[in-house]
Amino acid sequence: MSDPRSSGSQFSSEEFLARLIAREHEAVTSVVRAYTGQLLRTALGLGFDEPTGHELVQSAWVTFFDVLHRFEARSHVRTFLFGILYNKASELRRDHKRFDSKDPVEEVLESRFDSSGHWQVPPLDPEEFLMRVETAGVLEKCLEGLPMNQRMAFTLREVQELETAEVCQALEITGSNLGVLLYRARNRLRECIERKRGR
Amino acid sequence: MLSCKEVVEILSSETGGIDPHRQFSWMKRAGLRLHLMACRHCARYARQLRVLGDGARRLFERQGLDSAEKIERLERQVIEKVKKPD
Repeated sequence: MSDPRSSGSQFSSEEFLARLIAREHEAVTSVVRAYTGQLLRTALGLGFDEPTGHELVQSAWVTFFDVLHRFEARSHVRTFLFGILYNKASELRRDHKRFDSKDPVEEVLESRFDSSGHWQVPPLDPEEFLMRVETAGVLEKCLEGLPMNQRMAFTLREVQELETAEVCQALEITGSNLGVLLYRARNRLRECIERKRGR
Repeated sequence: MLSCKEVVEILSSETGGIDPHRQFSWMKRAGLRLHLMACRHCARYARQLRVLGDGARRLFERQGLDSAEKIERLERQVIEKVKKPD
């Protein structure tokens, strides 16, 4: 079983791609075995239940093979695959992937600082914060509140299956967009957790 | 001198990758470290982000725990579905 963290550049060679396009059995098997686990874990991480996660992953693979002839081997096969999963996940949640210029969390954050940039409403005690994060269901509930692009950015970054450049390519965003998405995701999550009552 | 608000922005938008737009000079990085040593609110904030990251990783691990068999089954289903018609 290949190392899931490998960039899989062998899969992007012209020769291998030709075999995939021809749906040659050995090639198909090796690429499906290389990435299905990661895809499923990501789908579950995005909050889909198991049956839906399975469907999403299958659907992503079917599309992958259907459009493979259009794939230009400038990025890795894995990146392409995750991009497809992301599109399907967004469709399923009826979530636009548009990068909004503003996000509600910005105003919330503003209110926590005074005009000179000092904390006005300081962060919650970390022990209390930790207790809430470890309370069953709290993190899941807070993740549910994230728009898909923020959730995908956070999930891919925290699970660390993909390198930053790959995350950007899969989401079709720049590195600086990614920074903004993570800023929004992390702060929304923090604010959500801080607002939950403890056990 | 970095304000707490700027520190929060820097910490929470960390992407872990190399982005030329976000390359910080060693001076700014040193300033960040100094601020975190001196400011207990920002130190708490940084700790919250770590707890959040760790919590998320543990959650994803738990979700993926008994998946090995299911993944194998899913792989077989996919291979069957996409294979060349005989």
